[in-house]
Amino acid sequence: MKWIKSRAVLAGLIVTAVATFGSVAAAQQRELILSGFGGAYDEAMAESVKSFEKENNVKVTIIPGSGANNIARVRNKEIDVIVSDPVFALRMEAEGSFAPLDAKLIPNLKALHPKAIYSDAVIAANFGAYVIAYNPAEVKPPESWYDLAKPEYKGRIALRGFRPENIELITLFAKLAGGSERNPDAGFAELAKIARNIDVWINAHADHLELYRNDQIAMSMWTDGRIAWARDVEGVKIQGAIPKEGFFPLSSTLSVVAGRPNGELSQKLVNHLLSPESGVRMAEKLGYFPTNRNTVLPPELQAKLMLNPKNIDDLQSADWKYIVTVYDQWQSRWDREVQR
Amino acid sequence: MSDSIDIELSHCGKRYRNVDVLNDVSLQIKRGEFVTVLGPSGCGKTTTLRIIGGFIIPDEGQVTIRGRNVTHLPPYRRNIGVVFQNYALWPHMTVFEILAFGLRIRKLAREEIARRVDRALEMVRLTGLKDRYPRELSGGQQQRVAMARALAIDPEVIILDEPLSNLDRRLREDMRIELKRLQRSLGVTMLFVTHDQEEALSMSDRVVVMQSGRIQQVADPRTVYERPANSFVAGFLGSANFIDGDVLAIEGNERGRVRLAGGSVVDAYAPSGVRSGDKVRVIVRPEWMLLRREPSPVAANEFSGVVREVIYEGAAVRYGLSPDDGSDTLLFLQERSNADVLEPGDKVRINVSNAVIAED
Amino acid sequence: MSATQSLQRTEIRGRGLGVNAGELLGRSSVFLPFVFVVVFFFIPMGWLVATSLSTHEIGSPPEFTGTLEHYARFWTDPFYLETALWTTIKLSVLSTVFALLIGYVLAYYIAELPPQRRGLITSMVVVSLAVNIVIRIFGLNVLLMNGGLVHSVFGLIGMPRIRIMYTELGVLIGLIQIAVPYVVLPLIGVIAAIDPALKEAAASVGANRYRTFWAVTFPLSLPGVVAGTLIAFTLNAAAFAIPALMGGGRVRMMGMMAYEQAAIQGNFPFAAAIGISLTILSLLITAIYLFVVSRTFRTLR
Repeated sequence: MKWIKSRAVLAGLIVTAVATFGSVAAAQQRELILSGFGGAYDEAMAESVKSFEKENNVKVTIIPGSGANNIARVRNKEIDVIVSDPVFALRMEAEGSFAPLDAKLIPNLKALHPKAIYSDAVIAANFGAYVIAYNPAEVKPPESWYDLAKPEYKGRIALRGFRPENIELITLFAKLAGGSERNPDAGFAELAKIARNIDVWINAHADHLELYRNDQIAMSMWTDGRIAWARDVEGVKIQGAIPKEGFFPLSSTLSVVAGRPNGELSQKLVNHLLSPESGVRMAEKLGYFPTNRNTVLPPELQAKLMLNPKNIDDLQSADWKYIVTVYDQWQSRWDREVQR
Repeated sequence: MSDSIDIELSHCGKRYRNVDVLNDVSLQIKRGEFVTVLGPSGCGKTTTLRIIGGFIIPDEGQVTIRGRNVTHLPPYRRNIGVVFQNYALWPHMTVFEILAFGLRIRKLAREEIARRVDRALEMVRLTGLKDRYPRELSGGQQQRVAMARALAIDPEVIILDEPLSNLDRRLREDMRIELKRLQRSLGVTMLFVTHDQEEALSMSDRVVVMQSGRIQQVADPRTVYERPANSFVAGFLGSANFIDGDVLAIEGNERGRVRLAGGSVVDAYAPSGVRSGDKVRVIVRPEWMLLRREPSPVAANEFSGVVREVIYEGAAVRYGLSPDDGSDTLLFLQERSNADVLEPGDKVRINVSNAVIAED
Repeated sequence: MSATQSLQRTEIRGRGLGVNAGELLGRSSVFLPFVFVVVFFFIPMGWLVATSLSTHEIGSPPEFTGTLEHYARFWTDPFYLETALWTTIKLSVLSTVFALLIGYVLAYYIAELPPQRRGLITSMVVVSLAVNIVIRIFGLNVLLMNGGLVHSVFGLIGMPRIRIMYTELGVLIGLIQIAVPYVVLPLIGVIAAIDPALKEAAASVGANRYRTFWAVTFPLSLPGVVAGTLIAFTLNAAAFAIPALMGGGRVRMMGMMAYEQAAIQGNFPFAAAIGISLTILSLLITAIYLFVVSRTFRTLR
């Protein structure tokens, strides 16, 4: 049995060595896990956090996250800081998964535009703008959200299903008709009207692009950043128009997950991502407008964005804390009344 | 046996990729005949059968069944029964359904179908097995079901593709008798294909010997055996010795005298077309030779020789002999008498009781 | 050396170790795959069932209480029954039927070819399996979209240019395309294995080609038919890429709903309930199918 014994001893040695080296390495460098959106967003963030890593002697690992995947990760406390949207973030906060944002550690909090603050633990780092996208060769620039329901556009419109931007649209229509988040019937009714004009309920940005390219639709709701990409990079005939009733933000929220080892460092990371330098970089790379009011964008850059310091106040935002509590009911209504 | 012709092939040919599988094959089979097509593998016998069955269409020539030109008709329009080598019984049907299948196609009434199935089963002595599946039957039973299937539809003609080759020896011999008995009592025309010459000889009214796509000889079994048309037929249907010689004279009645290579002279059967002076090969089967041990006065049809090999087979002894005339052919003959067994080196006199001049 | 010899040798060595390593080797070769199945299939399935019986509330993670509310939400709601449930059954059954019709013809033709000529056509049928599903859908889109190739053909032959993409018809076509290779592959082998003499025997007693097919070929090919259609059916019943990308948001199938609820809406318990319901539904339909077929056709017994 000699060979068994010696094998066991050897294995034991290897395991011990690895563990020792591993823990030594871990002790030497701290790590923060930052969950992003994947793709260009994560690339932009990666560039931005380089200086943070150096200043704080920390490694920031960026992993792509999406939808419900994030929920699992947050519940399992696998990540430190999460980039998300108000719907998910507020849900997670309600479960007690986030740590409140500390103004002492995050001085940039004070400089945020009020519309970017959703709660103690959820704030937006930047905004995209949801506007009406249209093909200028096919239709005149639309002036109102109600234009989407016009009979001459039957079969030429696309929307994205039960997503935050459509929830905002329901709320807006409800408010315009005298209702509110708590009384949204008018909103659902208007969406049901628009639904009759819908060619396709889209899922992915690539599909959205193809619909314009193949001339399947003439109008839809899209972000200014994506419209610019479709027009300038992909060469599709498309423009964006801000309707007179206002427009909706695409919020990229930041939150700190509670119960992780490097809580203070995570808050500092949030601060860094809210900084003007970070804001400028996100605007450059992704066309997103920074929520930090102290950020000054160079004029050529600002000219490319639809959002600017003047019209940012026109952003419509629903009471997301309330909506998160009735989310399932609204979804049921959406399935039955709108997306048929 | 009447004189009407049930199956006729005229000048049929079939080619596969530059190889002539059948070459100018013509054949006539009379009503009620039991004809066997005999030959080694690749001789074209199966192709001939399949052309008659309708599974192959010949490149040249015609097939006629009872006067109808069926050359291009598919099998289901010819009224032929087929018995396949591996029986081809449909595994998902009971014996009853297998036999009834063809009758149902003919839209017969249920009682008629039941009657015919019972009758067919009786003919092959398988009554009582109606509800069995093929996998529940022995090899011999399966073979009889295949037979019954062919009989049940009352065909004009039945063709059988080596139906007994998959049976063991004892069963095969029993089935030969059964088959022949059946054919006789029903009077149905049968075309039987085999490579087994014993089968062919024991069962047939006539034998068709084929080789390399051509018919070598068509005759009743006795003629084919005792008057083989050429060396191939002679060699295929039993053992044969081949001796070269010159024709000395032709007498009437298809007899001739031939001087063999060594100088001895024998009487032989001479087919028409052989002339005096021709160089020929003479076929002598082992059982057509007798040995005489004592030196005796020289008689006709005899020559001397020396025993070279002795093969003791129990019921017979086979000797390999060298003729004294210096020719180096080794002749084999058999003795079934109670005479003493000879030794190699013994001198003997060989008497040739029968010989045939080959046509090739 | 042969397997038995090497096993014996291992046994002898094993005895020297005080343990019968040979026997372990033999048992472990069955044991390990079994463990794999249990760990990577049954345990996650168990977790899924538990999740489907948990609560879903804003403000707390799912808690296992044994509640049936999610199953009730799906099964008692006429909306879900009329859309998701009915669409799933309808499209998975229809696509399987059409795939069988198309696939059987193809498999029959391929099986009739001599073995050396089969390769090209078989690869043509089966190559779609090697292509990523999203790419396939893009290809189908080019073909089926408004103004696409099919519409051009419709125009040429004077047919009305009905919408295909983003409708149930489009999803059906996508599902059929997925299913055909799965039906063709098992059938080729099964049909080719049918002894040609069986068909000739049928012809010899008077069966024309049509009759021979239905009485001999088809019944004997049934095991292949059942195998292929079952694979196609269960695959399509759970489909989510095709209805999600080709349905335009209006064609709801249960697999797609489960995915949406899990990955986009984050309602894990509801998603699990839909998923488990779909599994039970598929098993039920499969059981009924096998029962009916084995009753009608004795070749499967």
